[in-house]
Amino acid sequence: MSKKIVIDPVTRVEGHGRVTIHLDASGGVESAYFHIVEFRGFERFIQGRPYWEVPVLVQRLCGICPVSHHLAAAKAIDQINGIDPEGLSPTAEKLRRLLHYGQVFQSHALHFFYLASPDLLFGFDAPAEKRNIVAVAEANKELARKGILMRKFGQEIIKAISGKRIHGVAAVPGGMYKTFTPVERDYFLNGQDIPPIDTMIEWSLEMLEFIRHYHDAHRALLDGFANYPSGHLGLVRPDGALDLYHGLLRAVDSEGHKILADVPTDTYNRYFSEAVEKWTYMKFPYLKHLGREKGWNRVGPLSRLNVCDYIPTRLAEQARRQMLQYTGRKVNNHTLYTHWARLIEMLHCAEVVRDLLHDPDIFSDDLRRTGKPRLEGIGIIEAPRGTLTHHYEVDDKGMITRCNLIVSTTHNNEAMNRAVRWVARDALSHQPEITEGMLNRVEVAIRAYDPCLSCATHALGKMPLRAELYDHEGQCLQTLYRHA
Amino acid sequence: MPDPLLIIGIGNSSRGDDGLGWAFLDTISQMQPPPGQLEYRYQLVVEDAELLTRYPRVLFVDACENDQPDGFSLEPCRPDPVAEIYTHQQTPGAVLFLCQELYGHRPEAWCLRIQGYVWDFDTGLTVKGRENLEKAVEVFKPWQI
Repeated sequence: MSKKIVIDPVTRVEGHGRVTIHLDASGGVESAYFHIVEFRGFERFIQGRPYWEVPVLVQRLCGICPVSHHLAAAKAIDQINGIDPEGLSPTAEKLRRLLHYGQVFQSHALHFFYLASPDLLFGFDAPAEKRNIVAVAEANKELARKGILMRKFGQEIIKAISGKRIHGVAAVPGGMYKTFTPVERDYFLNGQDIPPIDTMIEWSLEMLEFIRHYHDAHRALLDGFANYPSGHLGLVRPDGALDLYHGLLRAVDSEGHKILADVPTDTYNRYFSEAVEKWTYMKFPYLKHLGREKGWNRVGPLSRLNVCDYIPTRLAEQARRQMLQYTGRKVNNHTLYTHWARLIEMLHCAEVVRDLLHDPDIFSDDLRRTGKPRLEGIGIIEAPRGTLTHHYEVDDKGMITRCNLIVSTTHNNEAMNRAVRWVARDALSHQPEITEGMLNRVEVAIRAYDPCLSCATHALGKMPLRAELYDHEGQCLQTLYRHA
Repeated sequence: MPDPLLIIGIGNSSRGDDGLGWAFLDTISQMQPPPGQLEYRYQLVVEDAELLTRYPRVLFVDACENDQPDGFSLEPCRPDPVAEIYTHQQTPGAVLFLCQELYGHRPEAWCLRIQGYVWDFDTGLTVKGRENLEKAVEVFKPWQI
């Protein structure tokens, strides 16, 4: 007798997804899928709008990483305005970087402290009512307070540059709307209203100590959980350094061999294609020359550390080397090391923000450049969750005629599905009863990728968690509910 | 001089009457003297617990679907340790609980719920929603003194 398990919705991720797990007659896992079942359609409905509206419109894709969409679109729109990424004024580029690294800092803080830390502090099998930020606040006040202030720091950077913490406006075609002032800068340095940037660096180092000790204490679990080979994709500078704002596209295989060797971002569509499946609205990007089965890549913090040659800030590079030394491998395919990589990136972002806050270029009025208009623009950026592509075409009146968005979570679609299958087979196969803790392990694997299902297609809704087992005739054999 | 008051309007002005919380802030922002610190939110988040530590009084204003006999309701709000599934979307009670738990601060808190009727993608309030808003504002005027 076959059975089907449904996890709906997956919790502590951005947006809503669903997992179905099919068991065969002997209780073994036959197949498992991660579905995105809602549709948004931004690519379609911005057609016909003037190009300069796009950076404002598309950031509404998301309330967590609107800055990433705003800047990826802005990079593309710069080109339609005749300005390549290298053609921005130093002030405009540095302000965009300050905005972007502040955004990645706050988004990583949100994921680690609010979404992932309950699993790490209380265990994958802890009662569902304990796996949330309120329980973290009760159990570890210092961690929770620091998490709140770290996220706030990044959000205040965003607010200072774009006017609002969510859905502000900063970039305009060819540059930035406004410059930064010494008073705005001092807010982040003097510690009078919020902890200063040096404290953010100090706390980021503390969090790295925390995760290192966590790995020491749970190494067998973390090394064995959802470990599978894959390609890894990310942006690097021409010298191979990690760069979250702009660079060349590089992909490596599970052993570290380059499978996409540092190509310009505006050539992405020569190398990538997207597949569709009838059971999900989220597409499956892959490298054309390797094909659908072998050409998929993970993206995000762990992948970025896998593809880069080094991190261009001192403390984060030390932390990257420590992680490499810990694993003994250049390329890390262990899903749960993503949390460690995310914390290394938080440290890197804090270091970059500190350096930019001390750079006098951010106070200049040289904000905008113009060039000869073009009919196409491609903006690629490293969003918190990974490589994000915005591609637009316009007519001779500047109206959008075509749009293609490949968001980070879409790149991770295949990886998340493989992770779900891996965990389902490891935790659920041939078990006499499916417990809530077992199902949470499936979510832990998805959660490590910090998927933003809102970005990946989805519309807002609210559902309780329900897991059901069905026999082959559709009869419900077991039901599990989760309310928090 | 009353204690400083924080007023958080929750909602989305692009979703019909879901904009009632923000419309309330827009309306009272015209009052002289200013009634308090006004904060616009799509949804409450964990960091709002830290914001609350700076105020002895807080008013949460949100639209609601449930029938309200007067078109709105104004009730005390208490800390609630039950977290939402989605973590980055908290209830007023959960934010108060976090504020109390993490910072040892418990402001006097109230929830103002204004009944709405239409939640589709649209800007602007329904006629009935706007009537309820006006009644809620009238009740707020003496409440702030």
